[in-house]
Amino acid sequence: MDVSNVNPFLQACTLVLPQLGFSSVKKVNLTVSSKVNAQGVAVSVGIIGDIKGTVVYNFSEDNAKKIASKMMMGMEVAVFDDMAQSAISELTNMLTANASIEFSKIGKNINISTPTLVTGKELGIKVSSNKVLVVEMEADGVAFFVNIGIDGDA
Amino acid sequence: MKEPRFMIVDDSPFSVTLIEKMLQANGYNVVAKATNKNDMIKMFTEEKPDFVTMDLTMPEINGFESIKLLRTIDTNFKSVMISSLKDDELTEESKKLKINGYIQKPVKEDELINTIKSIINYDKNYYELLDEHQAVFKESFADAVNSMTRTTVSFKEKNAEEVKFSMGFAVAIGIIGTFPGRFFLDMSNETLTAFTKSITGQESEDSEEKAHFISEFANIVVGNACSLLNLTDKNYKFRLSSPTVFYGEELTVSTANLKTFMIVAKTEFGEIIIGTSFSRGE
Repeated sequence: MDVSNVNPFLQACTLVLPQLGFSSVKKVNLTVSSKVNAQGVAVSVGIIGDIKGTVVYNFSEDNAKKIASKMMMGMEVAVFDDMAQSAISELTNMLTANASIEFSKIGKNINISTPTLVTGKELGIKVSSNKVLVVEMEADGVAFFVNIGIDGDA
Repeated sequence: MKEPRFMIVDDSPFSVTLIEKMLQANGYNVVAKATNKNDMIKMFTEEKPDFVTMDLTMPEINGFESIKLLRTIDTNFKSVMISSLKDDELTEESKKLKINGYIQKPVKEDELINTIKSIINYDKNYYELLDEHQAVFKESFADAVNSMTRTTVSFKEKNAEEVKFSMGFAVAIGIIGTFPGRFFLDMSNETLTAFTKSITGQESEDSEEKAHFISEFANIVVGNACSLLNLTDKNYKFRLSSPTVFYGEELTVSTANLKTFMIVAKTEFGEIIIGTSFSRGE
């Protein structure tokens, strides 16, 4: 399992989130898990190229609403509607696209798919890799998870 | 795009005439010309052209700012920068602004025309993909079900708005290529259980096991469909990412960020929804 695959995602978070109005972005925890951490809102983005796998971004519905609100210039987000879903999808697209630029700087070229956003109760998520790197992030106190599953990681 | 209409913006009347002559010689219709900011806004608003060729260095407003300004009036046009200056920083900025092409002066006729043709083709290919892909996905789906279970499938198209909740099990696969997209299958736990059983011969209540099965099935359907699309020689270059399986209560697959095409497949095991989306990768 190659932990260096985490850095491009961390760099993407520290680059993109401040542009959306967050002032403090930090990594809270990094664990290796056999399954994806699952709560209310999950967005999966496919990766192929020099590395292949899936990144699943995961938020509680409350936190997804807080982030969407920040992205929409502080507009109140009472329900996690199409507009808010679209904002969160766009966020994960920006984060993964930026991570792909960071990967290219270390000689790994990857392409990314469009995001699939899913909401639900008691979410179960299965990606194809056996192990997943789970990065817990916090942006202005709002927590979210970046689950990185790279195929071939055992 | 039918008969694209062109607008030329350049502070040099000489350049405007030159570009106009090249476009007209190739049968393109120039509907507007502007050599200053006021004319640019006026002509653009009046004519709503499909294509704008834009000079970079102009006295009142530069080309990038001009494109941004025009987009506040109407976003539905293609743009090509034409400037004597061209370096990494400028092409990078142009890409960032999603400008469709960048040509360095002196303008060569074949370069200008090839750039325009490739922009038009890109558009044409995208709309053809949206029109034609569902038939290909149906065929792959029916073939996969038929060869694995010896049963047949019928289809019904649905509006994305009609499908609000997932039926319980969804598998998503990312599509990468000229037009990146995503594919998903959605079905109830009962359908998945019956479907899995018809192949393995055993009833399984284990979600993980069923997730493995449906991942592989989805992979076959989308893999075969994308192979067929790749064969149509439209430069799609589709490749697939690994599947992600979602299951749970009150699951919803969001269709907010991208137009999602839905087909309901009626199988012997129950209904399975096939969802596809493609974006312009520009």
